[in-house]
Amino acid sequence: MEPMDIVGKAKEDASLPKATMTKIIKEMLPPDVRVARDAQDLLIECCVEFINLVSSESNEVCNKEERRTIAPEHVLKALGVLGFGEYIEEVYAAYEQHKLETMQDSLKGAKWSNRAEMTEEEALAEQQRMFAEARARMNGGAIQSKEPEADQSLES
Amino acid sequence: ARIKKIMQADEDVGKIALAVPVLVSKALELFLQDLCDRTYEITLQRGAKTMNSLHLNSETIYNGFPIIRERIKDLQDFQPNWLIMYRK
Repeated sequence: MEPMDIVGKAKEDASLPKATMTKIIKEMLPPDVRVARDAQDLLIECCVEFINLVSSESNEVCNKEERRTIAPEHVLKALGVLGFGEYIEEVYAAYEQHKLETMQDSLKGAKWSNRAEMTEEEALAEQQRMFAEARARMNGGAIQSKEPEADQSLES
Repeated sequence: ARIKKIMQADEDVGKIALAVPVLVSKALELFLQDLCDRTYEITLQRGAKTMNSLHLNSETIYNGFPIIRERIKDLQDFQPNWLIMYRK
């Protein structure tokens, strides 16, 4: 294979963002270490290759289980098959965290959707109530701010 | 989104569950950390201050990651041409 073919192929395929990856690589290493450009490129290529490996192995696991969609369980199994078993625990923890976050987001969404289900009259009444509360707060604040001025005039 | 794009670049790969890129992202982070740590050890062993592709292309890395051995070899073979193209 010609070197040009490799270069062309690398440009055609979806790759990881170079600037972001360089930043991540530098953060992973001690601050006094310099990373040559060729090493950076090679590390990024290794990352892309890792994604390809994991996805193709996950796809095989998925096909064996006669499923159409690659699920998180398939990825975890694939990592074990590929010899990255020590990553499974942390990856699973990240998955659990993601599930929690998405659940919280959906709960927030449910709250907003409940608000949207109010009738027009209810919404108007709610609006009026909120306006009244705001006015009361403003008036209360105005009274409080006037009181110190009165004290000052007494002192003088 | 980028990880999903790379995964779906493979024609054999079909649908992907929403959480899958999150898992792959975490696995990738661990893999890259591992790769950087091992390469840094070799850089130190050789008394160098700059990490280069030769450190990444050593036997230690091959033994640690046999699954990507061939890929690293392929890339390493064409490294100079890459750099010429990149600098142009």
